[in-house]
Amino acid sequence: MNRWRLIACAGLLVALGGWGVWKLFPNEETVIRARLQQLARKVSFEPGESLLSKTAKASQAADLFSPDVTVHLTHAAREQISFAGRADLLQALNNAHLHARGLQVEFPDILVSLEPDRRTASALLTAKARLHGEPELYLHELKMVLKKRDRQWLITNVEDFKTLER
Amino acid sequence: MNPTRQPAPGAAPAAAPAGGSKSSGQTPWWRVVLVGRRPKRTLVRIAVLAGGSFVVFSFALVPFRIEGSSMEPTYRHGAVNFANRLVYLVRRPRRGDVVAIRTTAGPHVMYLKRVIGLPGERIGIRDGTVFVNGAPLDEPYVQNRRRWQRPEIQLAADEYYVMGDNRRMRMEDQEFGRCKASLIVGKVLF
Repeated sequence: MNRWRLIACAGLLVALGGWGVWKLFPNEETVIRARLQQLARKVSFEPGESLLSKTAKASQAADLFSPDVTVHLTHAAREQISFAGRADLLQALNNAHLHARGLQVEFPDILVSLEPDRRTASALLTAKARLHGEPELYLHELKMVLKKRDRQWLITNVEDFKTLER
Repeated sequence: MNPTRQPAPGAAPAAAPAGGSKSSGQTPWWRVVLVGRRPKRTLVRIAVLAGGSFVVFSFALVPFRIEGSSMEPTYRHGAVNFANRLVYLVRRPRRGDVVAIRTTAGPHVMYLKRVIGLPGERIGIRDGTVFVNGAPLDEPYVQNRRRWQRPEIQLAADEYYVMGDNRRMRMEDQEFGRCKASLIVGKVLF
């Protein structure tokens, strides 16, 4: 084996090793991003999805929040919606699943910043939501606060914010 | 008895049947179509084209698809356009420019709005008419406006005031207002 092939193989091995370490031991920001993407998947549901599946998804989504979570959102018509506690949130999720025919939620942008204690983080994210059968895209900018409890990042606070301030 | 034709000793072999993979001494036509007569050059061309496209469409002309009706009638829902990122390297946004604005969280979703107010100006809306430093703004691109009301505000040195052209919407249904200059991605190409 000539020298260049040896260098190429060594480089490939180093890259593979780095990728393996990155996959096996992701940093906190990657973990938080993955958790928020999981939330988007659990909140979304297809039109023909069974009630059992939707209820399970809502429950799994609620598990990503802390029991004392507070949510303050502004509806499209500038009405305030608030939830206090995971049970309240779960009920709201179940209601949404009952009344909407289908919902697709995506978080295309997530900006995570960790506090110095590395047990608290805030995430700014852009949420895109589309109701089944409606052409209109709903865009929401959210700020979430997450805390690490029992080695798990839980969402403790959700509120919306605007890039374009009136 | 039918005599069979035997090739004479030393004669050239018969040509391949029509539609065969190659004509004598030439590259097969399908290979010419796929990778050209000189595959190495074709590969280099493809690499240059891919790299060039990546650079152009990432750093110069950012493509996007318009979703929503806030810029109607100027821009329709579903249309594709580009944000020219280079233009604001040489000058600042001007009033009337239609710009793409990224959200605070990242660059994958952008607002498409028109620049109404420039840094340092006072902007207010009375009965649907925009006032800049107390004077009404002529907006020929707006058709059928609702009677929107917003108290006058003063823009900071790094802020622009942006709005959609569709003023038939309810004010609550449209995103508009102040935005930081750093969030303006570029000017819409056409």
